[in-house]
Amino acid sequence: MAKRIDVAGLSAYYGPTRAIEDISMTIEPRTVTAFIGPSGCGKSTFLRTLNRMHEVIPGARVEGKVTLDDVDLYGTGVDPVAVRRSIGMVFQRPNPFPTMSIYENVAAGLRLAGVKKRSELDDVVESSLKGANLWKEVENRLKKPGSGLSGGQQQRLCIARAIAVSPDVLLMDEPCSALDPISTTAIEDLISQLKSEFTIVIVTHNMQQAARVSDRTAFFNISGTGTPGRLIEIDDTSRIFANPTEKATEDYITGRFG
Amino acid sequence: MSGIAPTATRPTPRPGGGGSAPALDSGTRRGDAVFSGAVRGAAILLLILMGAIAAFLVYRAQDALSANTANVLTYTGTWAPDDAPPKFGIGALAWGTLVTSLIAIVIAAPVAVGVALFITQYAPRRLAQVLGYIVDLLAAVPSIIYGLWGILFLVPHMQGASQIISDVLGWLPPFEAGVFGRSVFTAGVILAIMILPIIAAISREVFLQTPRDQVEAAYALGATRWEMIKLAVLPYGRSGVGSAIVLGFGRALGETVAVAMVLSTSSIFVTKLLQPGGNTIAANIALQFGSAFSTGQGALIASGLVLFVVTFLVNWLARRITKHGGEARERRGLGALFRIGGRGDNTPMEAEFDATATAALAGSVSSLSDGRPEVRGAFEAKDSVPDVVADEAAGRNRTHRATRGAGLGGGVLAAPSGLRRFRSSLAGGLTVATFALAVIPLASILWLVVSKGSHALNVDFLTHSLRNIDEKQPGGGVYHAIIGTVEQAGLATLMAVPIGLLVAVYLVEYGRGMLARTVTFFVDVMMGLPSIVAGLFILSLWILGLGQKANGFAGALALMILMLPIVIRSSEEMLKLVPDALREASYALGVPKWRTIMKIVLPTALPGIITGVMLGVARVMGETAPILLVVGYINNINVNPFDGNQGQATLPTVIYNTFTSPEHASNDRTWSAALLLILIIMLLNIVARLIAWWKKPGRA
Ligand SMILES: Nc1ncnc2c1ncn2[C@@H]1O[C@H](COP(=O)(O)OP(=O)(O)OP(=O)(O)O)[C@@H](O)[C@H]1O
Ligand SMILES: [Mg+2]
Repeated sequence: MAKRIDVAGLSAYYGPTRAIEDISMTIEPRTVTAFIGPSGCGKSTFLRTLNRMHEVIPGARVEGKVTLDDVDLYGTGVDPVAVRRSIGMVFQRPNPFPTMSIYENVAAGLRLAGVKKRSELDDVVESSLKGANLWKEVENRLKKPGSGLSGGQQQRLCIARAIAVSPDVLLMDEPCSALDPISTTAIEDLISQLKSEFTIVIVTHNMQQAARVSDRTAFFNISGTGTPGRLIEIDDTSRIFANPTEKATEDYITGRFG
Repeated sequence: MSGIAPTATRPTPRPGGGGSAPALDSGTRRGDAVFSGAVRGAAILLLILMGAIAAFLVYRAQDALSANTANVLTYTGTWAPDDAPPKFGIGALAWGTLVTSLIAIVIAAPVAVGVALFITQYAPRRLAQVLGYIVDLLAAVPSIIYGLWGILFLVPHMQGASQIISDVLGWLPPFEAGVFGRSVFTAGVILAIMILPIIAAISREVFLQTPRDQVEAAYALGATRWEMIKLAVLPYGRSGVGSAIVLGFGRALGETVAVAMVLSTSSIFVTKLLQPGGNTIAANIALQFGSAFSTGQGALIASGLVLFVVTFLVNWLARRITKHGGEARERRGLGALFRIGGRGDNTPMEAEFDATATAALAGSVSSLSDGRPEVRGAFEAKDSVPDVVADEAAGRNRTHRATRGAGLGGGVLAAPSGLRRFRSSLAGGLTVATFALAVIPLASILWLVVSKGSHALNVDFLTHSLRNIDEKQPGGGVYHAIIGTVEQAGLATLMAVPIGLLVAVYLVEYGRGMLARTVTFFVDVMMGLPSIVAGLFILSLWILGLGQKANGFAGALALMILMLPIVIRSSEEMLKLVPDALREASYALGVPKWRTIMKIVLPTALPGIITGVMLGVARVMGETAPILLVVGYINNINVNPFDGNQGQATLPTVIYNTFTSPEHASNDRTWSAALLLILIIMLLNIVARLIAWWKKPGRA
């Protein structure tokens, strides 16, 4: 059930400091949207405003509007817990729950949602692990702790955990930056497969990766230290890399800056 | 001639002579050698002290044990070592110790964990630190005050509680009804209150270390706050909390005066928890010591040895539970009670040290204030529980409306089920309740001591002794006890601070390998040492072994043993906070190691060390149990702690020796002494923490 995200005039703060300013964009369903830009320009911050993870940081707040298929995520009455359930997230460093087995890790979200039936859990765990291209590797050790896997496998486990609750959107913050090239390829393949079902947003520092996996690319930038990050432009990936509208984007992509 | 001339005209190369590298400078080398020898010597001294103490305890216990006609470990009859033939055994005492401590842990553990969860996960961020201090203050209240409060306030109130318990559970033999009050159950409750802050402090540190990515992973799955705690915080903290509980248990095993005052002791094998009777090893030592002759003292020392070995094993077990890096957390928690700014301080402190060290950060000093340190601990502590509860309730209603209003297909943004909401709110509410439960005793103690103690606390009280003052007679005061308290704590400080500092410097700056590990281990052992055992140490080594007198100085020696681990541990923590960049900057200037330590490292760590020392002083000032064993109690003024012919009173011993009086005038004096003691200790605590707070960066 992929859904569309619309962002209008969004700013995010850490205490008094504004980290990102006035961002508006549309994220299309069943596409992969890549966020690129220099370090500190607010990609992660923006990404975390999309599933209301931003506000779990003390003193952090958000202004502006984010809608998921016309539901205002910041509207009164919308529960952040429910938002996070329908917009899943994969983090830069794989973070399986260390005390849980592989099986329990994948089942964690469903258990929270109150699913108790063993057969149903079994089914979802299997399909999610298959969906994350991990099933074959762990099929025989589902009861072993998730922390016993390799880094790349752990990251795919985290992806399986995120898709097990069948979210509408999947946010990924540099999901491959802690991984070796082979694991990275595995995850990139996975992303391409997942986009038929989910709306995917991925933050990456790797230009080739953005070019390889994404349909749309958004470029963020800051004009100097201490100033808030802004969205410079968002367009089809092919266009951003071949023929960007903004000079700053071109400079960044060609490596003249950042 | 030719053999002598070279040395006469050209003595050994001068320091730095011949433009050679300063590192080859022999003067520097000698300084370093002397200094490292001194700190190493202090560390070895500590080990020798522990060894000597153990040897003397065993030696003193030996005579009594060989004269004993009963089996010391299993005999449960009356404690009668001075009878002919001597007959004593710790069977009933050990059982009583176990029962009271188990009751204490059953009550304290859940409350303490709730308190730690409240402070780290639910309390508003700004309030969290203050709330933490309040709980730490509970740890600063001396045993004697707990005992006084216990006997005069808790015991009467426990009758009602005991009645309720026996009404419900009376069909079980241990909860049988009878005369209620000064029972092992009451003693267990007092112990629970006393060990709660230490369990809470360690658990708090453990919970604060929960990796942020675990917390985020839980939230990103759509967990409520309570579910996040269950998914991330509790699994991560399991072993640390387990070890905290075991350490608390060890404390309960060794607590003396409070139990001795509250429990109506008898040498029975306790089976009725709610009825008077029973005894513990520690309380028995305090109560029997006054009437013990030679074999009697040996027998008490033997029982103290058993207590020592048991607490030693318990502490060892606690450390075993947290093998993997948990030790650091647990030590930090222990440290938190005896230091220093508390949580969250380390990071900004390091940041400041770094800043001063490198000066390269000059341009971006403002960046110190942005986020990083804050995020670490109080990650999800964005709003208070009442808010959350209200929020979650309101959220549910609003979401239902929104869901219907927006006509969301499949209820995609539907809030978690009412049950999950309810559980989360309930858990939050429960942690608030545990916090309230933990603070009530503190409030009650303060209220009672202030209301009963203030009217007799006047200038006369501070300037007169109790000499020739009858119990019934008003007037008189604690001048003599103030002198005793100040002199004994002062002498203890004079001895503990230099040795403790040297040992801390050894451990942080030089300590490697076997010796360092052994010293660290023994410092941990000393940290968990029951204070009555410290008294027995000095009794067997100094008084019985070396034939010294039971005077103020002997008391100071016992207090020193209790203070040493506090000074070592807190100084160690502070020295570790000094970043290596500072040391390297100094080495790079060609400054030898020992001067770097003296001129750079120690001054940088000084405020924190002072705080640790002050908290240590506050702690030992309130000690009663060891003083009972090694200092005679007198009513008149004795300004000479070395005087071999008379003892010295201290504020805690005045309370201990007068609290049973039925007379009004005497009672008033007891409470005033308690008030004075609490005031001094609280003042020391607050000033100590203010120093830490004042020196905290970003506070200029
Ligand atoms: N927890 C926080 N508290 C305060 N400020 C923060 C916090 N996290 C990020 N910031 C600030 O917000 C700005 C944007 O940071 P963000 O992490 O979003 O950048 P980014 O584009 O993801 O960078 P990177 O590519 O290095 O991950 C930065 O100036 C950063 O210092
Ligand atoms: Mg980032």
